[in-house]
Amino acid sequence: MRRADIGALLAFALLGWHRAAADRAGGLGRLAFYWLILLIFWALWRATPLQELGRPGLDATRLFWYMAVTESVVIAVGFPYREIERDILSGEIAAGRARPLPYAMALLAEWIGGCCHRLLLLGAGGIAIGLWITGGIAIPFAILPAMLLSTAIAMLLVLLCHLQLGYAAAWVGTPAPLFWIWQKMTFVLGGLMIPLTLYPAPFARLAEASPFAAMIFAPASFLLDASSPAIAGTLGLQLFWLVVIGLMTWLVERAAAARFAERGV
Amino acid sequence: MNSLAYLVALLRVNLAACFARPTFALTSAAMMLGNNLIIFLLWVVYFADFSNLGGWGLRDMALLIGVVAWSFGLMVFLAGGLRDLASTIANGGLDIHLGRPRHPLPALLLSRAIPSGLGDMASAFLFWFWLGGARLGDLPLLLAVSTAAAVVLGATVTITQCLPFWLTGAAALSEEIFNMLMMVVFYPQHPYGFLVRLALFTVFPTAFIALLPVEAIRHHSLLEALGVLAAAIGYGALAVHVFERGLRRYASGNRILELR
Amino acid sequence: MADITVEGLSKSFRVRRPVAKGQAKAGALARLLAPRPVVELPAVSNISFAVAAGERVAFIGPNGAGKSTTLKMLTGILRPSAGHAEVAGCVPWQQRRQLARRIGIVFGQRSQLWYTLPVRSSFELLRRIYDVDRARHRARLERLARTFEICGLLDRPVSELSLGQRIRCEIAASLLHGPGLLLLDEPTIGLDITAKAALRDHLGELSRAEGTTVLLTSHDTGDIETICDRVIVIDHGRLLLDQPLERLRREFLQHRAMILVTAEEHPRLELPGVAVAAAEPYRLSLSVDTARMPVEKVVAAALAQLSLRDIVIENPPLEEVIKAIYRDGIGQKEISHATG
Repeated sequence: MRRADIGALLAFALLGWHRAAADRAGGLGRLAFYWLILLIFWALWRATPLQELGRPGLDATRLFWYMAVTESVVIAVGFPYREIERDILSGEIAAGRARPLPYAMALLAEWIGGCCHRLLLLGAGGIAIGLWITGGIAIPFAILPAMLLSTAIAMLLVLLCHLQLGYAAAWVGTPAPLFWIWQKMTFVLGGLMIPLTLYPAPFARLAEASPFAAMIFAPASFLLDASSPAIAGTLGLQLFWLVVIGLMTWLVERAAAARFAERGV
Repeated sequence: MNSLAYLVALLRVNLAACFARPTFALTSAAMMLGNNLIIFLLWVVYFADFSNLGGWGLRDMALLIGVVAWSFGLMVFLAGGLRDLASTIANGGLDIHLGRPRHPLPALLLSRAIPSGLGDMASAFLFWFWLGGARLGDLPLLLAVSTAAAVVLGATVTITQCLPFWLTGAAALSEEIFNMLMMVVFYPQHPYGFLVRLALFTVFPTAFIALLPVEAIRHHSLLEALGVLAAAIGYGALAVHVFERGLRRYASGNRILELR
Repeated sequence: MADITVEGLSKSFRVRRPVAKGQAKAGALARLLAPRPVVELPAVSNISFAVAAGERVAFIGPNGAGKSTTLKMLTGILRPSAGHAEVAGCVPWQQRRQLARRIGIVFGQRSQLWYTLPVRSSFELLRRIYDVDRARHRARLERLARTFEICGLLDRPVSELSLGQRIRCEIAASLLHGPGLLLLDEPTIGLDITAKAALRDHLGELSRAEGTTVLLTSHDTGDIETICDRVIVIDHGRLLLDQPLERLRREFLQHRAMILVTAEEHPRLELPGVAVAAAEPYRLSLSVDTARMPVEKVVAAALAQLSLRDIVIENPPLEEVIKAIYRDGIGQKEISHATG
């Protein structure tokens, strides 16, 4: 990759950041939605007989902060696959693909910029509401760098999946039905609402081995097990899935490009 | 003017457009059914760990999801245009409808039938009878309260989708409010405190969409069922009123506030 | 009786003053603490005109002139800030649904047809919307289908039609209920030359045959020249001009182009008020200042002095007329209304 390309990608990332910053109504709405989810689950966890688990460290407060991390990734990302879907169905992708900078990379850079802004906003909002509800921040400072790194990888994994989902429009027209299934599998196998460690054993092992855990459960898992081996293992697994899903995304993009070249957009 | 014939004609055209691509329609419906079953796994996991949630068990959750799936599915399948109402208002899309000699709201609501709604409605039967343990004799009550809940849901969505009449740039906000509405209805509301539940019975009437219908079914309560029906009539009338007030503002072309 | 009567119509929008340079950098918090004041933005100011039944009038102006705003007031979509209007016997913003039965509207960039369904299905629904009885609808549809050449399109989904085909169907749809007045907002936008020509012919033919009043907005002078016989020009919300088309040409462009094809290899013609635009072997292109030299005198002189093989006298393109009006306004000229 040339230096000019890196500069261009940074410019796209900055564009994404500014777009997110300019979308104040959407940002406020997203923050309100985030708070609402956290409040709903705070009420649910407080009504849940957590003592039946027999795990004293796992209380409503810890589960609240767990969900604050998992939901921040999902909400910060949003539904970017619709942009590619729109570009493909309208034919506008032709203009994007005619540029010297690869369309997918430019879009990914823009998405990353936007997600960073949204994550910042949601992070601040999550801390604010968490302080108000739980009276403290249950995220140890020592694990914060690892958690941020893990969150960044998780977000990137989700965005790569969105790229694939968006490109699916080249074959299926409207990828929304595919997205719903993918999204719900992410929620269930990614432990969005209930930590994977609470799943029945065989199901938990299946979920933890899946890429979905790397997208959602991973950064929040440090709240449940902050030991160095656990952190290293989690980050290692995320990097593995980053390579695999990155490769898959590249293959999907190539296949879509070949399809466009043959049939037109 | 033959309003009923007009509404029937609107509905027929709407459904014909929905099934103009039958493969996509059926795929959407099937995928949505799968979507609902997958998300139910979360509750299977939950109740594998915990005996109850504020007195509710897995079957009660299944009833809840069935009610919400039916009401949401019915709303988007018959009145899918609701999902586009805010952007239609914001983009001047009302002009076409205002140039016609009919009230614009039916045409706006019935402008789109979202086929995934069929999948939601089909999944409702699975949740009610297979997972929720309801009996066949409960079907009339299930359909009545769930359909009334659909009306409350549709009315609430209509009101929130009317925001662009008053606020420029509010289409995105309307969408977020819709997402919040769906988030609240899909989870049990009985654990909430008094003030929250008061809000859920008034300004954000999700209790009439989920909590009250499920309680009506659990207790076979005619009173609670009538409560849902009354809410359907009340919020339905309110939605029409809000839309017409908004229409007057659209007609005056006034844009007072910008969120930018 | 006039189909459209407009008296002192005005429309202002209340908007927040645009962000000043310094304020934009101050950020959202500053804007929250010191919100921008609301200002009145006039879109249409005190316009008056009348359109008689059967007339075909072009309502034109540069982008942002107030054309669409005026049209929306005349259809009842917008309520004016001041003034009065009556369209087909109705006050538009007070009797919108009653008016809608009597008029047809075509928004060039918005469709009223159902995208995935055959055209016929949309027409059938429109029959229900306007409550037209089946027999009358069938007869009307047959006629319109022949006129607009859409017989072969009726059973095709709208999504499969070309833009030109879709627009023809849109116009037919707006005429199905037999309105006496047709309002068209940029009907030929995006169409190719052939499609435009066909549409103009159909529209003009139908309007003349049925006496339909037409009020058309368009940036395409071809639409105006082919369909309309009167032009109303609006700019910055104010009426600049209201005249028959021919008078507009005569008053605003006094230069006519003339091409002489001669037997002489190097033809020459010298007359006051006549400038040579181009001189080629056997061909002379002239620009005639009709204020100084009438065209017929130039023709007579050419016949007397040269061996003419052919002569072409070109009308000034309407585009030049309108460009001149947009650029220069009307100067000292008052608004001249179409009195004949």
